[in-house]
Amino acid sequence: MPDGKHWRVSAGVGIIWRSWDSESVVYESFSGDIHSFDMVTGAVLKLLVQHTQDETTLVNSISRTLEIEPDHSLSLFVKQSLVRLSGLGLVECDK
Amino acid sequence: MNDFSTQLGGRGLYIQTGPFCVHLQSSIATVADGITQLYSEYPSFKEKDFADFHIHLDTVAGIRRLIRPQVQFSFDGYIPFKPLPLDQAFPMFEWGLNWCVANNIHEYLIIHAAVIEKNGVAAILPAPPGSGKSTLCAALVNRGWRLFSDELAMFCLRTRMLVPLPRPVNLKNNSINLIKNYAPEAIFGREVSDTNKGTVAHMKAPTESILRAAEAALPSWIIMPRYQEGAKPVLESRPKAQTCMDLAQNSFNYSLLAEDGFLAISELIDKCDCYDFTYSQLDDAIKIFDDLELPQ
Repeated sequence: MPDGKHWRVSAGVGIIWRSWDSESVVYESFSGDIHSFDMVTGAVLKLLVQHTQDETTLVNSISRTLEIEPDHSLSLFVKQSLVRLSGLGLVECDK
Repeated sequence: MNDFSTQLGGRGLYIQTGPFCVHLQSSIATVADGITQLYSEYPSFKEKDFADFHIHLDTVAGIRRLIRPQVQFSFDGYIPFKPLPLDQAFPMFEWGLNWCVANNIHEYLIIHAAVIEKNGVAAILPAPPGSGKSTLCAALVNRGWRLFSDELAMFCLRTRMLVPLPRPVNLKNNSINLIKNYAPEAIFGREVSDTNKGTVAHMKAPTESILRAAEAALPSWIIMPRYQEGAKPVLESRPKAQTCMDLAQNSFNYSLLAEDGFLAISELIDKCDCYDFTYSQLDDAIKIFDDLELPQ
């Protein structure tokens, strides 16, 4: 179940974005690292660059953006994406 | 043919290769032989006001001279590598010059890749050692493609074009005889055995490639070649995102260029069609390359 925490792009992170087909590559200017993301993870990051969102809102936004059902598997994908993005230091949530 | 040994052993020889002027000094006979065989068609000068790289190749002094003679490479007075056996002096010049360019020239994005050109458009062939990149490159430039480089793809950050650095093609082991048979007219330097890459020999860049070294080209294809014994030729599209990651990994100065490096790599990916290419027969490969279509 979504826990109501709000997610945002981590402080100090600057992102340059390129998308090809369904995949995205992101350059992070603070570390100089680049990352390749699948469609959902890319969409999660893109939405969080625009504004802070909680997990439920994120799932609904992605459902609209990618035109897929906001079902349990999408929630799971979004959760996994947030774990990955958080592990890379690109996003953070409320304590 | 010029004999450069007197100049090389004295005040040195200035050789123009692509956009760079190299000032080389060496009294080692095999270096002079290699330069004479493989660089006689490049613009060269006895004196010049400026050189991008000042390179010395000297024998290591002391008792080593008598027992196991070695060669030492120095660049602007700095010694970046351990000495090698004296027999490897000319290959060391080539490898050392690659190092100089890759580590010191940052107005280009530099990628470990071969580059060839035809009709003003170029294919970039990034690949790890053992993939057959240099062999394929040598075959292509003996069948109508122009040599830009067999090791260093240079994408100019200012003009956004690929810039040639047409130097000898470094072939290893079985590839040497393969290309000697495939292109009997090609000129080769001396074979040197027991290097850390096995036996190596350098093939002279084709004359036209040397003469047109100032002509840049637009990047159009990124092709990852892979030699596989007995394989039929297969050219398959590869994902652009993955190719972007692979180019960054194969670039010598991407990290140093930071955002500019990422933008340059992204632009290459935007402009190029990206492929994996598996092959075993050079003639098959030539046909596939000759039939490449321009990106939409």
